[in-house]
Amino acid sequence: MAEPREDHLAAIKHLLRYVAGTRDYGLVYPRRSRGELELIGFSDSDMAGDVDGRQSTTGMLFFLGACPISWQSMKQKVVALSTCEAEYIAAATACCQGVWLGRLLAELTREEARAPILMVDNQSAIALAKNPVHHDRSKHIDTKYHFIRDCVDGGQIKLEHVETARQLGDILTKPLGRVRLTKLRTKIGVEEIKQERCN
Amino acid sequence: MIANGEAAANPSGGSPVSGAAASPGGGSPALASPVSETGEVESATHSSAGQASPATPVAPSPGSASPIRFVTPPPSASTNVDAEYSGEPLRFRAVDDLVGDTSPPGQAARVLDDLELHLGSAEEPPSFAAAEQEACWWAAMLEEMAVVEENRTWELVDPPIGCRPIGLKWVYKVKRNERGEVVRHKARLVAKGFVQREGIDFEEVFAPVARMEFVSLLLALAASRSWKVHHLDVKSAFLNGELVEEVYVQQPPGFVIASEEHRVLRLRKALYGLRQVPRAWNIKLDASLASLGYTKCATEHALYTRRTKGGLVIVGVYVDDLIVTSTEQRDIDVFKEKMKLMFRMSDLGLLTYYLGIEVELGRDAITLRQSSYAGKLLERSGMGECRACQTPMEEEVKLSKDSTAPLVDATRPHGASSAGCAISRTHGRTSGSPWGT
Repeated sequence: MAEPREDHLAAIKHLLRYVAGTRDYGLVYPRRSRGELELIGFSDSDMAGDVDGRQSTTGMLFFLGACPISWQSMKQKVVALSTCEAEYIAAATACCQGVWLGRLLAELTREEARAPILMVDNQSAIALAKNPVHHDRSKHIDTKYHFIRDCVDGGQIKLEHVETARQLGDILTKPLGRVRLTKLRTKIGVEEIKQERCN
Repeated sequence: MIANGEAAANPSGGSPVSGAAASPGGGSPALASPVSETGEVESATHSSAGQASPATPVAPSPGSASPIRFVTPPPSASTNVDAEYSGEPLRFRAVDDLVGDTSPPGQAARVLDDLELHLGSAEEPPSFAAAEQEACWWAAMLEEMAVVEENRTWELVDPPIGCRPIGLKWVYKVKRNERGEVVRHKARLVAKGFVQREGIDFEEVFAPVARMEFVSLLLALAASRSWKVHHLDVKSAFLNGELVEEVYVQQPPGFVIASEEHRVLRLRKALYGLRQVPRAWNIKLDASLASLGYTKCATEHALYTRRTKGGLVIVGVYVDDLIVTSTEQRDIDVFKEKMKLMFRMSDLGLLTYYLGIEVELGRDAITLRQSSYAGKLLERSGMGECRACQTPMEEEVKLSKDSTAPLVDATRPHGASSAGCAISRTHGRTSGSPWGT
């Protein structure tokens, strides 16, 4: 970053202090597979989280069963006009990842590929992805994000609604308070790993 | 061009203590570098412009008061000029004179006492001239040369017309164990690939590597299916790559064959540092895995699979690191044996450390963490002892480019340079290192 200011430095130090506190945290992939191995993704976004450019932030997270395998938190390239649109863009990004992971999993297990499930917490975004509606509020959305319509249509991905409280992707879109952060962190499989816990 | 000096340092080869700092001006015309009037050599020595007459090759003037001495050009001078050369007058200087006893600009000359010299072997020497003073580094260089020779990496040829051989350089590394004790001295011969130009010296450089998501998917799958995950490493992997391009390099510093000084080495196999090397290695590995019956996956180019009687063998490739997993332990062993026949491998056993991630294959869970990377990051930013906090960022804080807070004082040490590392804490490996892991 060019010309960092004192408040940016303070944020970095805060971040490093968090790293210091979570040095021994890591991902836990449990051995016992609970039921079927399913790819489940979560996509979420905030709204205009960037103060300078007013872009939103995409957060997405994929699980294989209970194991988190792929995640991303990224500022969106375009400015979204509504929450629905921001969520739609996030879902489209997650969709690309989901389709790829699904294929890869099929390759690794030599089984028939099953459509990954993508959890979205915005009903209008889901509706937009499922129906090729074209109206004033959505006609400007860049064509590439309509990739998700194709995937939903072709059965390559399934969209499901999840209420915001159970949206695990939330942790990747904005700074959270201590209580919610800790709760979500445990839910996504990040735990403190004690030395020699397994031996 | 200046780097020629290293090639000059020990033309006789062999002896660890032969004079590295050859007598200045001791007649080394073959090492003179052509420099255009505005060339870098001259500016590097802070000469005042126009000291010598701009007439074409100026003879040395040992008697003159000028601190800069010019030498007679070597006979091959006219063929060694850059493609950009447009006829300006050339002047020549002996490399010994250029790099001789002077310390680099901005650094005071320092005389090491005996104790310091002795301690020096625990650190990497900066140059060949420094390394050849120590037996441990000579041993390391001989070891590397033996590997290169055994590989039949090159052949000695007369330089074809218009050929500009790429300089070679020794890079030294002290390998330590977890407790920080010196385990071994390693010397690596690298080519100065930065002089290569795209389209002329090489075409394609892209080589696929495993994505992190793929590795975690593999581990998650292995966890649920109770597969064993093994880790293999190809020693000096890049040296196995086969070059399709014609590449000529100079003879390595310290190993120049007497009476053959003018000849160059035509590379058959790759050397570290060349731009096309990662790709050459990947092609070689791809062919080798194909010959073992493994098929590359179309969705992930770093993934190779093979069906066996019992099940499926999965191989993931990250440059020279291979992770292999299978339903059958026997299949893993067979794979290892076959790979050992083709490459010099080190078998690292069960996966414990991969791309900066500490993996633990426990009985009831596979765990992944980056504790040592986090530790290093904190240490580097001087925050090793800091008070821990519970959240990565305050909840309501909004950072902006238009912040009115005072600028960060760049002269004060602080952790800001670590921002990038902290953000990329999920991918902790520097790629392209000649050291592998």
